[in-house]
Formats: sequence, structure tokens, C-alpha cells
Amino acid sequence: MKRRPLSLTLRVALLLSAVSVASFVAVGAYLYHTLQRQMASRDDIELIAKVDQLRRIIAGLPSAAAIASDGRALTDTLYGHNDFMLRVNAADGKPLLQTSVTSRPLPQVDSVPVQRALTLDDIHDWQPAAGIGRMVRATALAGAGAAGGEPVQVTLARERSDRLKLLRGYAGDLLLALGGGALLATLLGYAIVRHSMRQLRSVVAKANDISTSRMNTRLSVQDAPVELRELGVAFNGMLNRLEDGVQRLSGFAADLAHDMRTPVNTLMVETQVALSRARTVEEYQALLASNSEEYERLSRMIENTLFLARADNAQLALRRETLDLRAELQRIHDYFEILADDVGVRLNVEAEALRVDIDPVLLQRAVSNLVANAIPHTPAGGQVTLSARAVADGVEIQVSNSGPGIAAAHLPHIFDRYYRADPARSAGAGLGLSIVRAIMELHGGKITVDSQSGLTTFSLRFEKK
Amino acid sequence: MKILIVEDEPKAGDYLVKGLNESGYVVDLARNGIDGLALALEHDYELIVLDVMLPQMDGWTVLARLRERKETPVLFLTARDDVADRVKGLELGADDYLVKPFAFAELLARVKTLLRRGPVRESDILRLADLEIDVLRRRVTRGGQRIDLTAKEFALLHLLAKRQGEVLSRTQIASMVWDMNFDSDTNVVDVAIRRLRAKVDDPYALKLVQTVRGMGYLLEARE
Repeated sequence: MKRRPLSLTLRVALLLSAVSVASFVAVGAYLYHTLQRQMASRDDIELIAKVDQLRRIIAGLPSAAAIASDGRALTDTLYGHNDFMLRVNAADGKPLLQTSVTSRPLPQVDSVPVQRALTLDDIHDWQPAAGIGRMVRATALAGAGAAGGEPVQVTLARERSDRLKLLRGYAGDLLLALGGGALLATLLGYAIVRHSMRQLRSVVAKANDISTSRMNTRLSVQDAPVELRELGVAFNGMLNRLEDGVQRLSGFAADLAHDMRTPVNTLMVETQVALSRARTVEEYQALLASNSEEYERLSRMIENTLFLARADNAQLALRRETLDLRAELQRIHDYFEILADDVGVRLNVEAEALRVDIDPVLLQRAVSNLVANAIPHTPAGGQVTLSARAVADGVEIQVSNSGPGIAAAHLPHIFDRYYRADPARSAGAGLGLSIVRAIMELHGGKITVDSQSGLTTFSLRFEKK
Repeated sequence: MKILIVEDEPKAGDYLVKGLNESGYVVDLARNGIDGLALALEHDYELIVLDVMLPQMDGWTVLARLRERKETPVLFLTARDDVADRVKGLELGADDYLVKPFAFAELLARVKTLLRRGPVRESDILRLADLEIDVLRRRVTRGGQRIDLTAKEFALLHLLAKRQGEVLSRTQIASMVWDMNFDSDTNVVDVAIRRLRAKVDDPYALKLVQTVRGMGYLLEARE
């Protein structure tokens, strides 16, 4: 089973708390270790100072025996420090003075000679009954005032249990502070992130509000934070495109339905009239043939509509081939020549030898639509010219015809679907020019039209790839 | 020539059977995918015309199952002509496809092409009644009398003569004579036929170029 992903708010808050715990732990550990090290080094320095003091006192005593008989001079130095342990041995190992002996013997370490000053390196760890301690052993000369003096061995040890207790307490405090801090950081982080996500929730609310019949809602991007502004702009852009598409689609569906009414009506009425009484076989044949023509018209209408719908959704894959443009225009010329000739119109080709990368079927379709459109609008004796020439960064194909032309009022609309400048005269479904424009858009090209002083020219401009 | 049609739409199935019967084929009809597959596996058809949208088992599945056992040529009919759909059909092993709505003449032409085995050698001289077409020399005579035709008129007559007795739709003619490969609204083909007739038929009693209203044209001797 797949786990549901955590909410962004929770995720950010958890990350925040993880980060704060990690930094608290690092800082706490540092503080603890610093304290521990400082305490230890201060203790060691104190230990050395005491031994130095003891050495001086011993040197001031008349003899080693005086240490055993009256050790007070020595023990007084340790007054108030009941964690210190002192042992003084004679040169032969006989104990002269001993305070609070531990059950465990002190380890054997070399004594520091009299003439050498004590350093931190002379301090050793020592294991009392419980906890740990530090110890130092040094040689001292009793009665050094007299000639020679007697060597004795001073061992001073210190138990550190109370120090450890202190450190443990400190660590406990640290842990408590750390836990509290992390908890606080998590809660605050969660609250802050949640607050920042409020904007995002408003996007969700807006998105929930949108349907195909209510597409005019937009996000306000001015007062949004930078990160969300981008999202908002993208979201609004998507809504604009969707709204545009939906509007075009519904307009398109309405146009199509509208346009299908005429042929369907013809079919229906014609058939019903024919069936209203008995007819001769010839009459039935004529009816069926006429119906078949209407069906073909409907079928073409559907095909054209589908073509436009696909071109709109960019679902049409272009199959570009390198074409000899003059040959292509000549082919179209050959096809329409008979038709033009039949109505007394001259069809010319004036093309440079050009090679272009265009989808051949679509090129044929676009130019044919223009020619098929031009011939019926050219008066007998006039001419239709197909031309092609190289222009800056591309080629331009023109289909021009002589004749009264298209009224300026119609020009901006003639590429619209189902638009008819002259409803009575137009034979096609009014999609021909829209298809030409769609084909040009698919190729990233442009179509323009110009109609004045008895010449109408459609220009197709293809950019060089 | 035995053909199997698999089509669930009752009217479409009936007219396909009728049309192909009348064109001289023996036709079986299955009205759903399961029956269609069973029939196709049981009998040895020369061609299967398969609709894609079928109840119980769709055309894709029928085609895939059939191809596991047999290589019978399949022409599939579809109302969706997305490129992806077409590619899918051809990849599954269909031999050709036709998008609805289609002209009956177009279906007939595809059926004939699929049933034709091996390359057909085209003869150099085509004859119908007293019409003679010398393809190599591009000469046309009727009753020994020379007829002058333009290049396109010759191409048109040659096409009709090659496929004599077969109805050719305007779209097919435009594609094969002028290489115009889309369904256009214009009546170029009608005008071209009229001009051809003026030269080939009008001076003679026996008419050869026939109009089949609503379908297209064919070359056939008719009094």
C-alpha cells in the first residue's frame, strides 16, 4: 500500500524541528565539553599548586620524622578540601602521614624529582572506590634547610565524584532546555508555515470554483508573495487559454450544427416528398443520386470541421518534405486549368524555381482552396495568377485574381469559420479560407489578403526553416 | 471470392453485404466480434472487412487474435482517424484501413486491391468496343479514327480503361490523374469528363464513359 504523502506544512515544520534539534545538540555538546575540560584543567592546576605548597612546607620541617609526629602543618593546607587525600612516605617506603585512605591502593607511578617543577603531564588518572580521580606523586626533601635533607615521597590525590555529579546535573539541564527549544521551534515553525500556506489554500478555493460555465474567475496576483505570484500568473494564463478554447469549441459546435441543418433539411424534405406517392424508377434513382451528393457534402463538412478542430489542438502532425515549389504550383494549375478554361478565365503560373520544406498535401490543399475560391469570383476574360517568389527569410506564394474584389468591410472576417461575404454566391461550407489559415498557422506562416483596384491577392508566407 | 464482414451497425452491415454481393463477391456477415473471430478462424476467407467498434470484443482484439493463427488480409473500418488509431491497426497486422464515412466506390477499390494477387502486368494496348488505347505511343483511336487528347485527358481515359467496369469516385480520379490528394469541393473532374466525352463519345453512337450518379464514373460500353 502506498503511504499518503505528508502535507507540505507538516513536512516543513518537521524539517524545521529536525534542524533546530540538530543545532541544539551540537551547541549543547560543545558547551558540555568545554565546561568539562575547563573544570578538569582548573582542578589539575590546583592539584599542582597544593603539591608545590606541600613541598615547601616539608622543606621547612626539621626532619622526615617531624612529618610523622606532627603532620598538622601539612594537613592544614588541605583544610576545607575533603576530597583531597594525602600520603607521605619515607624514602624506605614507610608511611609517615596518611589521610582518608581509600580501599584501593594508588597506582604506581614515577615520582617527580625534587629539582623538577611539576607540570600538567605529571598528573595521572586514579580509580577510587567509586568514580574517578586525579593524582600526582612527587618527591620532596624534608629539612632542606639543613645540609642535604631527607627525601620523602608526597602523593596527593583528589576524588572527582562531586565534579561528575555537577556535570551530570548540567547535562540534564541542557537536555531539558534542548527538548523544550526543539518543541517550541517545531510548534512555531508549524504555525508560521501554516500561515504562509493560507495563500495557497485560496488558490485551491478559486480552482474549485471554476467550471466550464464559470470560467471568468481569476486569482489576484498583485498582493501575493513572489513565489505564489508566478503560480498565480501561470494559473491565470492557463485559465485564459482554457476559456478561449472552450468558447471557440462551443461556437464551433453551434456553427457546425447550424450548417448541417441545410443539407439535412434538403435530404429530409426531398425524400419525404418523393415517398408521398409512387414514382418511376428514374425518379427514385434521381432522388438517391441527389441524396448521395448531399451526403458527400455532409461528409466533407465533417472532414473539414475535424481538420480545423485538430489544427486548433495541434494534433495534426506536419510531414514536411523538400518540395519544388514551381512543380507543385504547376500541378495545381494543371488541375484547375480545365475548370478555369470552362468559365473563360486564364490561369497562369509565375514561379521562381524554389525549394521549400512544407507538408505537400497541406500545401496542395491551401493553394487549391484559394484557387477554387478565386475562379468563380473572376469574371469571364479575367485571369487568376499563381506566383511564388523568395522573400527575406522565406517564400511567398500568391494567388491573385482580377475582378470586383472583396469589400473592405468583409476583409477582416473572411478567414473566420462559416463567414460568407456573399451568402447567395458561396458554394462551399465557408470553411475553405479558415482551413488555409489553419494550415499556415501549422507551418508557422502567415496569410494576408489585399483587395483593391480590381485585383484581389491572397499571400501565403512561409518562413525558411 | 469469399469475404467476411464484421460490422455491428445493422444498416451498415446490410448495405455492405448487398453492395459486395452485387459486385460479384460471396459475403458472410458477423454482427459482433466474437462471432466474427469464430467465423474467421473456422473458414478460409480471402478478405475480412472489420469494423473497429464492435460489441463484446472490439476490432483490435479480433485482429490480434486472428493474427495469432491466420494471415487473412484485413481491411479495417473506423470512424476515428487519429494517426494513433491508424498506426495501431496497421501495427496489429491490418492490411489497409478506411475512415467512415467512405464512398462505396472507394471501398470496392480497396477490396479489389487487397484481393489482387501479385503485380498486375499492364497491357500496352487497352481495348473497349471500338476504342483502342496504345499506351506506349499515347495514341487513342475509335473505329480506326485517331482522337487527339491532351496529356491529362489521356491520363483520365487511360485510368478509366485500366479499371474498366469499375466505378471510380471523383476523389480517386483527382488523386490518380492530377495527384490532388484531398477531398475537394470543386467539379474539376466533372468538367474534365465532359471534355473527354466531347472527344471520345459525342461523335459516336456507342457511349463508353458512363456516369454513376452519386458515385462517380466508369468506362463501359452502353448503347
